[in-house]
Amino acid sequence: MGAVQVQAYHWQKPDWVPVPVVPNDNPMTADKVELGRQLFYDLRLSANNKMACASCHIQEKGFTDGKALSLGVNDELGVRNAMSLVNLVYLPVLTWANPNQKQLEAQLLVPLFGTDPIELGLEGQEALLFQRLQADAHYPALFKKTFPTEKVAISMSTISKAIASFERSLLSFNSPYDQYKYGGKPQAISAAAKRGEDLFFGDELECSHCHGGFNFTDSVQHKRLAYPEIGFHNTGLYNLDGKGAYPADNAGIRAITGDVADEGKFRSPTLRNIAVTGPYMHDGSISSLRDVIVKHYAVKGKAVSDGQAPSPLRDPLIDGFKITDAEVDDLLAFLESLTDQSFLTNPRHADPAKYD
Amino acid sequence: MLSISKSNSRASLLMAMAMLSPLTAVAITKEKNISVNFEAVVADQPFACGQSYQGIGLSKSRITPADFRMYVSDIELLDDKGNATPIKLKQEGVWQYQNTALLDFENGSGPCVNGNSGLNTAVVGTVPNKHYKGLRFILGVPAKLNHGDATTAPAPLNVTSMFWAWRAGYKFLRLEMATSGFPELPKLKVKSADGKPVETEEKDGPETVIADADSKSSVLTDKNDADKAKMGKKKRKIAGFPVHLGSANCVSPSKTTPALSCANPNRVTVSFDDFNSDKNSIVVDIASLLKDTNVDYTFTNAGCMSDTKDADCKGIMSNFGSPFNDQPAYPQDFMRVK
Repeated sequence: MGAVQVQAYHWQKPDWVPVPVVPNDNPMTADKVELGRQLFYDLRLSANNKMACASCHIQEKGFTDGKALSLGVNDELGVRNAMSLVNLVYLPVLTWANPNQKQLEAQLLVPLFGTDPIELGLEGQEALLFQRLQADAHYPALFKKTFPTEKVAISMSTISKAIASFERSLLSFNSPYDQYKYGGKPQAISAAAKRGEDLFFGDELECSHCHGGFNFTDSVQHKRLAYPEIGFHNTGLYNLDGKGAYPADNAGIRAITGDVADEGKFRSPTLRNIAVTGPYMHDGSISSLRDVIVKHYAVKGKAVSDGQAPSPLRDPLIDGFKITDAEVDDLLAFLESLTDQSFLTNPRHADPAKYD
Repeated sequence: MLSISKSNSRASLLMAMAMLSPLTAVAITKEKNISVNFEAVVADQPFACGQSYQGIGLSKSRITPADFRMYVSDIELLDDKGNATPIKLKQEGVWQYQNTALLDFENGSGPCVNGNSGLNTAVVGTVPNKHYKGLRFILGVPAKLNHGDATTAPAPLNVTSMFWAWRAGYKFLRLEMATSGFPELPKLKVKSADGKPVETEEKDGPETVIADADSKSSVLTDKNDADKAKMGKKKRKIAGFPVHLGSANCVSPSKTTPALSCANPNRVTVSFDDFNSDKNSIVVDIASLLKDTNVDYTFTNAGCMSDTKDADCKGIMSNFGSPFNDQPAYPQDFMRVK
């Protein structure tokens, strides 16, 4: 029954992109996506009525916030860089560094209710949240229409299912590079970007090992893939003690798995819209894409730029490379060709208050 | 029938007795109601939201608790021989579900602003009407309930304050408090449905310096260019000294299995040889839990959050009776019979 409904939803994607997988208990519907969009932009989903999901996930910035680290409702900083929300439905694992976060419905509880750090600050306030939505002129009917078989229409379950559905609808496959590569438009990207493409996929730079595939990440799942693929890597960003230590409050998936070999391992993010999603890295510690190339990957990790030895824990493919300024320009031109303007301005993804 | 072989003599004798005296047999199988009462204290004083307590931990700190809740499960009575009989928990739809109960010692008042008015200090259910001598239970949520879908979980597994979403499970125990060293708790500017402020007080607490972007303006109106967001120095507050007990170091055995296996489950079996539910209660003592910890100092993140790298957990895990890194599980020193 779920499968029938999944097919009924029309994914906004070109045919060459594989069909996504969605959880059996939350098939996509247009109603859920629309309700989720309203909730995503709704300031009532925060303790002080001043923040929404959209506060740290701004469409024109590829659903990031342009900051190194994000502020919660208490004006306190988190420890991670807000991730881009794009093609999430193709990810078997979410966030920067948690192998157990596999479903958006569960993941979104972290920003809503988490206390370390406090983001939207609604921990312990679920009754108030339901009350706020119940008091709205439109939500009660909208929830009822969207979830007709639910006994209680406004619940944590329906709120999370709607927001997750909206997030799954955020698909970006119309960058100049997509048009060039898959859309039969050889002139869609510049000569520089084409040279940059060769560098990106070449053996000297090795970028594509972790940022390959149609979503430019090595974590991927879809209907045609029998088993999801998941990639967590240490890129040598830090080497605080000569043994590869990362800052204690941001040690990668080691904090979840407890395995010392997991120190500094973070999920490779997609590079789609990467030119508009800076600052970069899990902690926003590199401000420009040029520096990511020159001061991080080219020198066996930023630890080296910081005056330390290359991390002994870094991925073997992070082995540095020589690159000329002209080649950096070409590589940047390629990365910029992954910016999908139609996605960044798509009214379907925008604040419904602005585009009703 | 009466030719009793040696090997199963006891069983046969019991069967014979049961057949001879049917009234006794009925009495044995009859269920009785039982209530296991818990009492939260800080040393010799009752726990209450809004109260402060002196002389806590290695630093003899002054603490002001702001939350105190915990899950218990698999509650069993022990007979004279140590055989366990599970208490069948009353499925009342608020505090108890299957074999798990939430004990809630905070009433939402004063600093416990993020709590609720409900209190629950007893586990209630039924047991066969027999003589019992002892009590055993687990501090924690059973594995099969711990990693389910929190958005659809029944009460009491739907309390967002006990969600441990980033670790994919529940906080088995949650204790929040301000201390002499960390006097401020996170102040949420909560507004009620009609928009009126409920909690507006805001103060700055002790701060540690971490790196951050230079912008502090509201994100929705932020027009800063990404390139301008350079790393600077900015302060991050340490809010109180939280104690969160829960399963840590959990991984999926396979990439496609949602089930988790945790290297540090941190579920503690608490057992008392002598416990009479009619006369006794279980005293849960925050002062005893913290007695080997400096609550005015933190090695890593705020307080103790069950991470094996969190040095603030060493004494706390010891008193919970849970192993911690190379430290074995010592006898628990958190609860006692009164």
